Amino acid sequence: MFRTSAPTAPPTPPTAATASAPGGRPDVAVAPVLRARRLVKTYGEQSTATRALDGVDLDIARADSLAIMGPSGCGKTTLLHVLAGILQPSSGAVDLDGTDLATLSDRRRTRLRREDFGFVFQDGQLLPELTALENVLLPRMLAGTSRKQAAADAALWLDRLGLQGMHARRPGQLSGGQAQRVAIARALAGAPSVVFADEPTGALDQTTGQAVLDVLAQACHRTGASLVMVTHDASVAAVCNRTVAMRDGRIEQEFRRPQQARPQAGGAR
Amino acid sequence: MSALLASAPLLLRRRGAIADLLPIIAFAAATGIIATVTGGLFAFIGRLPSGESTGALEGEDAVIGFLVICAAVASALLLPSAIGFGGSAARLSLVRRERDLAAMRLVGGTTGQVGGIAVLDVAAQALLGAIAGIALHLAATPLLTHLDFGITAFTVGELLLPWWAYSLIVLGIALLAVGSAAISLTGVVLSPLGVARDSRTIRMSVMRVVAWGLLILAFIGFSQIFGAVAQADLLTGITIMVLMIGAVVAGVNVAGPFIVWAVARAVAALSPSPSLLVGARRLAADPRSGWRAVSIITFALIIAGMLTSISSLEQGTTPEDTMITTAMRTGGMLTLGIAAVLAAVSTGVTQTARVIDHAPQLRSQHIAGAEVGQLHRARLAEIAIPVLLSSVLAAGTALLVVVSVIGGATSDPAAGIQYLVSVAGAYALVIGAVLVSSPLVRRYAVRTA
Repeated sequence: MFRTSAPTAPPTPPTAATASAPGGRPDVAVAPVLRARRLVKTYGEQSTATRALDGVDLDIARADSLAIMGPSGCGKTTLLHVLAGILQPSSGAVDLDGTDLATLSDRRRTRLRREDFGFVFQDGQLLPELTALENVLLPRMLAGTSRKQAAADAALWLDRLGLQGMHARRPGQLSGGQAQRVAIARALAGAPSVVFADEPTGALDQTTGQAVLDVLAQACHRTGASLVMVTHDASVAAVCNRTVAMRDGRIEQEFRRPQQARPQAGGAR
Repeated sequence: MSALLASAPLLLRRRGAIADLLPIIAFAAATGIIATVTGGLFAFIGRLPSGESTGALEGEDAVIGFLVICAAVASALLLPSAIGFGGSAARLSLVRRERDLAAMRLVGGTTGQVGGIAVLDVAAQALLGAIAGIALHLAATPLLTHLDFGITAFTVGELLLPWWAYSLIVLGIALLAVGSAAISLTGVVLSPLGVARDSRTIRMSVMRVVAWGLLILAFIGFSQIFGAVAQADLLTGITIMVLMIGAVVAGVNVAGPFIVWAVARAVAALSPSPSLLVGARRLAADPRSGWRAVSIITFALIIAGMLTSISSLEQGTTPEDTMITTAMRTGGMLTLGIAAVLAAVSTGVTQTARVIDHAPQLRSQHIAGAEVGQLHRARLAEIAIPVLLSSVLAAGTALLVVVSVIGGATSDPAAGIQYLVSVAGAYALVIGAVLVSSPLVRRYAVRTA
């Protein structure tokens, strides 16, 4: 199941392009929602230059889930940021449904992140002054949805993730696991095509972390959103269908988990 | 302790020009205003006729006593705010150092040692700021000689303080900073893993507004019987009236934070705009801070409003009347100008500090799709709500006092326009101070985008 990619080799369609959808969906040829080709990202200049990404090729299919693993400094967070249009690659391309992110202005990439992507950060990054409900409805209001509609959708998502009765609480009044569930609701409320998660359980204990992961994976699965998750923990990566292992800015190995091994637990209903 | 002191310069490393400059700018502004206001007050006092004068006073000598009282009132308004701003600067300096303090605990410093070094660091910044503030005061003083108070123009020598007074001011600012920093440290836990701060959910009591409302009712009631009381005993009547006016004006500061809190909560609950929602929620989370940004302007506007109304009610018939009218107008506007500068510097410094503190949040919001313009609008909404409330409260209070005491407001359109332009200018200065940190917001938001 392991394969080693050659970073400098011509781009070849990775396995995800023809992979089966997760969670018992019919096996069909699925076009990648996100396609990265020959990604290079260099920080600094000349003698101080550090190559964080060194010719990465990667496809992410619709409703697929991908874990990016590797030791500190291997480039996994940089890869996530480039895939999400947060960072511009030094060379190479990231294609979302036929649009090269590198050709878009900052304003259009911002809009794209708002409308097509969802984000879950390690420490939630919820706005501390806003209630749980307001944290979830805010991105939708930023995208132009009316407050009434955004609030209705946000309430639905919070309830789905087991946060009934906590809508009016502020992040400081929630446990770490509850706050991450709010962050997950915020990421998914806008019906994104891809959810990016950067060490989403890094600040949680193991039991809470596992519960949060299950909620995240199940919620993405049910909405058909692809999940791209950065982690250094193999047990966290296990909730994803695919895992890529990075080293020195390159994808060193790729692993696809057997379909039947998907976790069944979770709070999403 | 000596080893820790030796390593302190390494641990208390410079964070960057802006973060390090903020407390120094704040100390400089506070010191400059304290020195200028005190110098002005003593310049008026220096014009008082000597006790050896006999006979009826004429011209400038006849009005200077009244002008000294006006200058004392303006100083009483400005000096506590400037001193309070100095205290805020100390807390700001301490917050900037929290990570360094935790690192010092990690390398073996005790809470007392680390706390002591933190206080010394604040004192050093206060000294630097205070010296810069005195320099600013010395540079600005020649400009003040051009102000027309209706009396002989002040000279630079009259507006400057003796050298020992400046030493006392610098020393006072340093002591104020040390005291404020020490008090702030009692509310935090310095641990090797970070600095924990006491935090409570903000709750405001409606009693603040009820108490102010009762004061207003009592004031209106007394103004109805003032004539009778004054006829019986003029001194008692005037004393009670002055005390009641003072209480009503001071009550604005009691009711203000509650009104800001209540309005911010209502706006947050109903706002159709995401920027207004975020700004209002931030304000509701810390209404005292929001009110502090405009409180001094509110007071200055009340004073300026009252002075403008009174000075334009009757045209002077004697040279003394003209002197008083001119002095009141200039004094009112000068008080408003200094208050606006103090409020603008305070707002600029605290907003910039807040942007630096919230850098990770700004970045994550931008990553999640918030445009930089939307981040700016949220910050503007946070200050716009107190600004609007301040203008309503100030105009309402000034009108209430003038109508109750004199029986009518100004009908002079020129005075009214001058007042409104001053109001707009003062608030524009405060809002402009918020915009000063806008490039920083963009830099943090798009740092990796």
